[in-house]
Amino acid sequence: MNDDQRHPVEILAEEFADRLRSDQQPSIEEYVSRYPEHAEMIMAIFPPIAMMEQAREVHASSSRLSSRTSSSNLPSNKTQIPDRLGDFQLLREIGRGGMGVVFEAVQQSLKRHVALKVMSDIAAGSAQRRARFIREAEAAAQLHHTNIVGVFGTGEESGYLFYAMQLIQGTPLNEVIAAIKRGDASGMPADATEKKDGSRVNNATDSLGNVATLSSHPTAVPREVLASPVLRPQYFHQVAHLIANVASGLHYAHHLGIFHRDIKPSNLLLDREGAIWITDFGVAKRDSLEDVTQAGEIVGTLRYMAPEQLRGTSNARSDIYSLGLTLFELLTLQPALTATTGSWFETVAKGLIPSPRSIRKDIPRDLEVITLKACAADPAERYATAEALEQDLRRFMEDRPVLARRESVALRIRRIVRRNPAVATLTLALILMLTAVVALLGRGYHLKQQALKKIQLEYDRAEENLQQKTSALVTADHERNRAEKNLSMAIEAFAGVVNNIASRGGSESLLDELGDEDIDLASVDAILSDADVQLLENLMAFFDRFALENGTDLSAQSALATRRVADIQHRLGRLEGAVQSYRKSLEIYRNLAEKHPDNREFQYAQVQIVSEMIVVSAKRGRMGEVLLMYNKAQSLAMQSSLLRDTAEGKLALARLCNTMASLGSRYGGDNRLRPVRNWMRRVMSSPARDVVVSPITTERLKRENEANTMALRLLQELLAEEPQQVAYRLTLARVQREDVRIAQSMREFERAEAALKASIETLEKLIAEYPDVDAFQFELANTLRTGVIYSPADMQRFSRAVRICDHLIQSHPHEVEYRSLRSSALIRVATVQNATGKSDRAIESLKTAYEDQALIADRFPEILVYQIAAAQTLSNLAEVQLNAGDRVAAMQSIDRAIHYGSRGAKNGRNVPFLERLREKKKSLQGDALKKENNDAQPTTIP
Amino acid sequence: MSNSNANEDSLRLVSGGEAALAELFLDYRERLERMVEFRLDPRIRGRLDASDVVQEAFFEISRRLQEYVQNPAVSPFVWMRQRTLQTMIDLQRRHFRDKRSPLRESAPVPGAVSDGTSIALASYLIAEMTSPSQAAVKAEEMMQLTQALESMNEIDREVLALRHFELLTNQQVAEILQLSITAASNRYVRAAARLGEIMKVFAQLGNHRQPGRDPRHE
Repeated sequence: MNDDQRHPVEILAEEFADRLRSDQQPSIEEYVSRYPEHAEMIMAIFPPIAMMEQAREVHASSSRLSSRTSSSNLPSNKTQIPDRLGDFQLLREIGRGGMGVVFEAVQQSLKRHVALKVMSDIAAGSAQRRARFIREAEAAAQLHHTNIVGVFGTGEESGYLFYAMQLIQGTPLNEVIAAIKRGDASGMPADATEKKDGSRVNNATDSLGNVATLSSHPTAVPREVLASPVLRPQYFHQVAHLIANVASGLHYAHHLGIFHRDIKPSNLLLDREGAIWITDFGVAKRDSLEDVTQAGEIVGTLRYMAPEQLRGTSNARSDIYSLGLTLFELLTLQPALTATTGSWFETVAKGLIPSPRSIRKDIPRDLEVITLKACAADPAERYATAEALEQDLRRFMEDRPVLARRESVALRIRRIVRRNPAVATLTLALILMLTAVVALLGRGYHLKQQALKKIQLEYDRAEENLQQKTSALVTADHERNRAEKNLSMAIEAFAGVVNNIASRGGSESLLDELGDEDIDLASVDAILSDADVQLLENLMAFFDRFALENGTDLSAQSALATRRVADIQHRLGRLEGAVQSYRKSLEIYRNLAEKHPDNREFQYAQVQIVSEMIVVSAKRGRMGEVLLMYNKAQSLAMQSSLLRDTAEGKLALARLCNTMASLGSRYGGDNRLRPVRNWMRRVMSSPARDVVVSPITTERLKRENEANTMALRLLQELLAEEPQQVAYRLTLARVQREDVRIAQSMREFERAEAALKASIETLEKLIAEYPDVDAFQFELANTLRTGVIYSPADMQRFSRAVRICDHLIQSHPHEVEYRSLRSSALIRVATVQNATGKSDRAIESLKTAYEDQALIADRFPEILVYQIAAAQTLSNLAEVQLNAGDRVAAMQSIDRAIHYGSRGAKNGRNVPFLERLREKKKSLQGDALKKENNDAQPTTIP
Repeated sequence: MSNSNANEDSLRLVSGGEAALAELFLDYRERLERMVEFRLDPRIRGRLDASDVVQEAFFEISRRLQEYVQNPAVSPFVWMRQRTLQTMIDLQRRHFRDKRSPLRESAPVPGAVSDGTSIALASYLIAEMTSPSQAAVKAEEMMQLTQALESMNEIDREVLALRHFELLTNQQVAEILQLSITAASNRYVRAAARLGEIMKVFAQLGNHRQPGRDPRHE
């Protein structure tokens, strides 16, 4: 902020007020002597400033306390409410909740003092709130528990809704915490002690406050020292005791199907006997009752809400979470979640709750474990019941081992990882990350038992080794060699885990890298999450740091991890990140290859990475990049005798060639759009044999043909040596499939037909041998839908492809590639249907195709090719609809096509395609206009 | 709050949608409650709680999010404060509907509740300016103090209220009252000085019980 523009004394006044607010008690004299040139002005304005500050302070503290009416001179609210409501004589206001005012009252008939909660009439005006109030009373009246404030009954009188409850002479825990924090057990604002109920405040606070401070004369200790008051061990026991009692009350209520939904310190009262009371089941929701709160309405206090509550669902575990945060606050004397840094929602959702012991070292470890388990972000990781939490707290109090620790290695580790990876020691970090990966895999990913067991074994081995490693590092330097060996074993174990992640869902490029005995892993369905990426990124950072600090060369491991991160990013659709990771990995491999010219691995890896990068670039529609990389990779492969003369080298090269050759069919480039746009019409109106190809296409085709032919030759060589090798056969099937397309485009139809048969045959053989591998089914479907249509007989082939895809999607609903393939097969089905005059069925097929594509396009809005694919299908759909005479539907399809087309054109690409869509729309509108005799309807082109 | 923060908040809101809104709202909540606490008509404080008002305002704010995002003329805080204030006024109006509301229908000073501010200021300051033993005459003094505060320039009065009862910065004050940084800063100094004068007169009033004197002419 530019202070030059401000009045100098105003700046001083701001400082003065700030100091007043932070209780530094600045003196006006001090300012006068510091700034004599402003003396007069300071003398004039600082006193009223001090007065205003004090007025606000007094007002605020009096409204914080429950009895505002008696401490302030405001017109009494009670005057608005009659002195008597039915059987109840109102005495004074003692508090305010979200819904109304609480009075101390005497129930005349029973001569007992009660707390009467009266709903404010404004709030009562809303039917929704009224319903909630009654529901609250009904729910709470069912509860009879020593730690729950009892509700006697509800009533309505003189237009006021109210309910009577047990009068508790207590202090809310938030005030207790504040008092302890001030290091001042009797630290309530001065005027509170003068009120007739003042004693309750002190007594209640004392029961915790006295054990909170070591000093027997807390007030004699300067405030600054008490910024972090010393807490006695008894304090922690006392806290455990209180929270256990709350948990007991909650369990009881949960048992009756009643959730509190707003557990927080201010809803827990500590009475003068030191008993704790849950109050204000104000937003309690009965299980069986219709939820009358508005959708999306946020009830309760956001700060104590569980992540799932923020998403609108809550259950018993949400209350446990909120109680966990309350426990946290009692232990650390500060809220678990402070909204100061970063995104609060993210903090809650990811469970980025700091470790209590990172705030106060004197908190017992077991209590920390219990706290963190209670407020785990994932409800499944919390205590299943409030009773379980209670029991664990009691175990702690009895010095018995708590259960939380035993059953939550993963929890503990994940917590430490997310808390601060940099703090954890390097070696520990690896163990943690391994475990976290295992935990991720084990959690609801339908991982096959066997695979899980294997990983678990690997993990166990890794942890053992790493523990050795840790001690080795600590004890002596000369153990370094052994330790490093252990470390690389651990890394190997890690690689096993990572390979599993990367291959989930059957990434083509990874399939063959798993041994045959592992191949069923590839069929495991899973949605990769950003958490996977995060873990791997942490691991990469670990490799880098470790290498730096130990002078060890971990580049190979780092390169591999980086590459896997890229694979995962790629599959998540994070293409930009994938490119960066691939580049980083490539760089490390390049250095490695220079240092170790005899190691072929580093060279294959480079070729493989470039192949992947080509695919990514193609997906991003950057055909220029693709060509550059292809040339680079090819020269790399050709120049290296290591690659040229080995099976692995040949395979890598064959795959590169195939990738290149298949780009046109897989991802389309900018120069592919024009032919595609007219594809339907061409195919329908003229025999495929007469397709006219442009010179650009011819050039590209030539290149693709060369690449694919080379791939074919390489694979034949390889298979001559090892005819049963799965990876060779799979790659061959792909190359053959590509050959179909290329041959067809070159109008070599016999070659095309032969290639098609060959590809199908190769795959059918593979499937016969490995019937459970989804990836082979996928490839077969892919081949089946390939090939230009000669006759309606081809319909069978396409339909079979659709059926295979249906089956695959059924078991893997989230796999993008499966849906993508189905939509492609459906489009071909539609083509035949349309050509044979079944336009209704063609429209249905195209609609289904569009649904698949829209699903993908909406999930990955940044991937251009998905948007374009959806737009194309819609554009085709519009044409068929138009031909069928359904102008309205066609117009709708075109509008949608423009929607996806515009998304696809974000980078300024594919604009001609979009233009054509708009022209189409215009002409349709023009036709419509003509028909309507130039009705005054201007055409608006977005 | 610095300018860059306001920009950042704005960006968060425009790009982050509802999640960002709830987040920001949580950040602002305390300030908004303080604002309502201060400005709520004293006569209905028993009926309406600041947190009720703020919660009510949040629903309104989330309903209008798109509107704001499309044309974020002011910073998110100022916008949410305006909405909250409007919600409060609406609730009060509903309450007084049958009683011919003494509140003006519209506020001539942007962001203020006009004479409401004087009443609010007076009700806060009265305890500080008079001795507690004179509770019997407090109502009358309250009226006089309100009048004295009324004698101040309306914007000056708002500046004080915003700075010391809503705890806003000079920059926020400037934005809310549509003043330049310099003007807001200068007005603040002037207003504080004027309040100092009123205080002096009032202290005399309190001590000598001279209800007939008009503090404005001191």
